[in-house]
Amino acid sequence: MDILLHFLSTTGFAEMTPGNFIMIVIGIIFIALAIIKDYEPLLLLPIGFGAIVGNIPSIAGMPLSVYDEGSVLYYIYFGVSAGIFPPLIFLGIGAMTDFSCMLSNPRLVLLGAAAQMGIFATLIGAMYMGFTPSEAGAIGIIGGADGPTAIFLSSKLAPHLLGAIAIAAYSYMALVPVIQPPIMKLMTTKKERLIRMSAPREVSTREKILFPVGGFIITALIAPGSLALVGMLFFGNLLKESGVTERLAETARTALIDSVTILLGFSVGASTQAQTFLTPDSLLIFGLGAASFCVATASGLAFAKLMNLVCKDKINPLIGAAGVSAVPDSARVVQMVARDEDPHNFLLMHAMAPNVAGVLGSAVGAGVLWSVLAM
Amino acid sequence: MQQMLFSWDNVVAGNGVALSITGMSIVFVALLLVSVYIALLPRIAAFFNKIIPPSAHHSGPVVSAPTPQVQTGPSEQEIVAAAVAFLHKNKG
Repeated sequence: MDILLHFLSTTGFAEMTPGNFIMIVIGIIFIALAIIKDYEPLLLLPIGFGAIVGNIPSIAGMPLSVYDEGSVLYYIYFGVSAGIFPPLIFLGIGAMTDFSCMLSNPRLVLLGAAAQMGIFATLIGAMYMGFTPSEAGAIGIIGGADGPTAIFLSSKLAPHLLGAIAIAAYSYMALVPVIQPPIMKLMTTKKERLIRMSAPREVSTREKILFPVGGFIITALIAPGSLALVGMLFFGNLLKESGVTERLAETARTALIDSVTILLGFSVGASTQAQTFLTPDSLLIFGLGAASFCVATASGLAFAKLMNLVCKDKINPLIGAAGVSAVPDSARVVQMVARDEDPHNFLLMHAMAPNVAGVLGSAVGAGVLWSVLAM
Repeated sequence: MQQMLFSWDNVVAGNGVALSITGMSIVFVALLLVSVYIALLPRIAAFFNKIIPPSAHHSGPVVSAPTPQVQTGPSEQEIVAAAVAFLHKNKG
């Protein structure tokens, strides 16, 4: 009888706290959003299930959770805490990204830079709220709308906030179709939304091969902190464009990125234990993340309008919103909003240019913040 | 987080504004240089094309070999014509 009572005292039911229960419900909501609403299912489903796993109370003295050294989850989570998974995801992204749209219209790259304003404005906001500079940098990167970059930087600058930052980043990325359209409509006139852009020029294979090499050298020399991210991004792209490593490119954009996404999503979810996640800091991080996304979108739109003041060949300012690097969701949102005004206006290809430039911009931004704040 | 104390002093103490302006400027410069590099790419590619023509390495455009003329049998029309001629000849 004593053995049975002892066993019952170690079950999850006995150890369950209200916080754990809330997090399990949040995990179930994530899974439901992924399955029913199709919101970023590849990420929300593993994160949601991971959140449930991470909030089953563990037995004292048994290494079970991601924070218990020696547990299975600890070793899976090592890929996150050591910043290994994000560059591997960037390798896959590079291998599946076609930079042609950006190469055919280089001025649109600047829109990807303008949208990074969200990162640096949020940095100030987070400092104002009492976060340390390192924590503020890690929170600010949510505005880059790039999950792997957010995880990479927070693992380096503020590992204790990683769970909240990762969940905020991926949640807002899933909510791009909800967050961006009102801002886009608020900041542009109907006339501007109707602007049609000229067709992009054709880009040669040579240009596509030369771009990742030169692009990497430029960005890595300016911000060496971004070396792991942009290095893998451009390496993956070179595998794709070289034409001689199709097998490697295929592996990077399918099996490798899928495997890493599963491990990353699941272990990030499992790191959201109520005891570390349900804190006032997390609420502030979610608030700052939302503000960051809005500022990033508004900055991209404002810069596109500014470019129209000085450029002869007008651009549709809506594509400025795609400068936040949620690839390809924000580009799709641009297309959707443009087609609401004119069903024959196809902006998707044009929007992909600031979209992929945004990936580059947020990686460079992360590199800059890491270099400055980690010292 | 040290203390939840909303104050501009935190920003001043952490050099927040200078950090943001510098960071944003670096991102802009980096992407501006990438943009310039992209603008120059057609010329750089043309230069490389002179030194190493695209067809000289195996990722260059594939020159399709002339399709061999396959000796095919008579066409359907020819067979029908031959059959009609045979019937016509042997009608009587």
